[in-house]
Parts: sequence; C-alpha cells; structure tokens
Amino acid sequence: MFVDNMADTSLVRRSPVLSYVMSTPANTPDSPSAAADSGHAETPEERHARFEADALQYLDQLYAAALRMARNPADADDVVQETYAKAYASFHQFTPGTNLKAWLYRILTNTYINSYRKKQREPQISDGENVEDWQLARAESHTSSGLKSAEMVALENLPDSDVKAALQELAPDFRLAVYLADVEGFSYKEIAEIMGTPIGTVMSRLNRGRNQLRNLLADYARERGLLRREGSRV
Amino acid sequence: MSRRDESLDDCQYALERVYVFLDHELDEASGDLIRQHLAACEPCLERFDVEVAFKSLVARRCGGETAPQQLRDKIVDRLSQARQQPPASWGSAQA
Repeated sequence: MFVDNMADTSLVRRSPVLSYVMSTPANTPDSPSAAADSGHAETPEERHARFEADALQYLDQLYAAALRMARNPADADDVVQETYAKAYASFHQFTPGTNLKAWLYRILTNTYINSYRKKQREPQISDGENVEDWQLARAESHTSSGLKSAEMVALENLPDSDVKAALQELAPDFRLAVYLADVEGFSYKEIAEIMGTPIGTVMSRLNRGRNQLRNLLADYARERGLLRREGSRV
Repeated sequence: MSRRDESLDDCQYALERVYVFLDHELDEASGDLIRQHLAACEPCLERFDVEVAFKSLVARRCGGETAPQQLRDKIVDRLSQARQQPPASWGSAQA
C-alpha cells in the first residue's frame, strides 16, 4: 500500500516537515536541584531555596500563559501571584524529579478557572465535544482543507498583535490547548493532566482550536489585504 | 482497487494524522508510514509543511512575554514573608 521509498535527501533539505520530524521533540525535562536527593530530610529553609531555584525559573512562561488566559495584564499578574502562593504552600506535596513545569501549569490553570473564569461567566464549551470528534474533523483531501503555502506566506506577514488577538478569540479551552501544545510544547498527556481532561478531549480541542485559529488568521489577513477575498476558501 | 484509489488511501491516512504526527504523538510504525508517504507525495508534503509553518507561527508569535520586574519582586517578597511566618500569610492557600 505504501510506496517503499526512503526520503530522498533533496526533499529532506527543502522540506520543513521532514527536517522537523527528524529532530527530537522540544520538551526538555526539568532539572531537579541537587537538594532533592541529598538523602536527609529537607529542612524548611532547604525547601524554600529549592522552590526559589526551581519554580521561579518558570515565571516568564507562566506569566505569558496567564496573559493568554486572562482578559488583561492586571488579572494575569494576580493569577500568577496566586499560583506561586498555592504552589509554595503545597510544594511539599510535589514529588522531586517529576514534571515541575506541568505541575505549576496545572495550578495556574486551576487558579484561573476557579477564580477568574467563573467571574467572567464565559460559556463552557462542551456542546458536541467528545472524544471522537477529532476523527470526524479529518481532512478530506489536499485541496479542500487547510492552508496552502501561498496563504501561509500571507499569515507570516501579520503583525504579532493580530496573531495574539486571533488566539484570544478562541474559546478558553481551545485557546489553552493550542497554547500548551504549540507554544509550550507540552505532550498530549501533560496537557490532559494540566487541563484535567482525557487525552481524546485534548486532541479534539487541538484539532478544533487550530482549525478555528487558522480561519481567524486568514480573516485577519484578508482584512489587511494580504489575502484575496474572493474564492479562496481557507 | 485501482492504483489511484490506493494512493488516495495513503493520502487520507496521512492527512488524518497530520497533527498527531507533527505533535510527536504518533507511534513509530505509523510515523514511518507517513514519512514514506511524504517522501513520495508532493501534495501531502506541502500540506504537512504548511502545518509545520503554522505551528511555528503560533509558537513564535503567541508567547515569549517577560514577567514585569514588579511582579517578580512581589512574588520574591511574598515568598520570603511566607518563609518567615509559615504558614499563615500564604498558607491558607490550597493547591
């Protein structure tokens, strides 16, 4: 069924996807600080130092993620502060050597959902969402779905503010799934843990979120005259 | 089944798995099938290349903010307060 034909090198060289998939995933494991396995019971001072050394390094990333979740920088600021407060208070429950970054993201997500999303009364997206629907949203053919190379060039010319605004337009759960996968490079399993959902739901959210984002970005590109209006279905 | 249908089957197989493949979540055997197909099918290769470019666009444009120094200072301050008076000042928080 499949052509038994190894990738020829010229194709690899000019194809982003072939060089991309031949590289290793971007995920890097946390480097637990030495204090974690020094053999004796950890003093509060040592734990404090370990928290500062290990958890604070994710501040920029957590803040950027909070900006994607929250409506404004002030809320993002609050969510991040609260996240660190909660993480500090329960740091003794964190198992050294496991994924600290994902643990912090889970606290961030819960904090945001419990404290802020309720206030905003955003509609929960669950209608019609189920484990299998990523399979239904499959591509029918090369031409009928997805962007073409020329359209992708147009999207590259959008300002950052448009790309961020488009992401912000997605429903919160779709937005977060896309952000965690594409910006943070978390695995499906990690995203499932962070968002408290089955992996199938993660895949569904990614599929739908990416499709919606692509359509939104194409709209932005058309508004800016970077893409032709007529005919081109994106 | 005609030759044309077979190649369309291969295309559908690959296109249905584009995200799982690019997210490094596909098992190796299926990934090999897709790699072989991409080496032989320009239209699928183009579609996959565009998806890589899209992922990369999102990655480059949607993150990377730096936390304000003020926020960093506030957190460091609250951490050292919490250390001095554990666990009351921050300790009411439960993760």
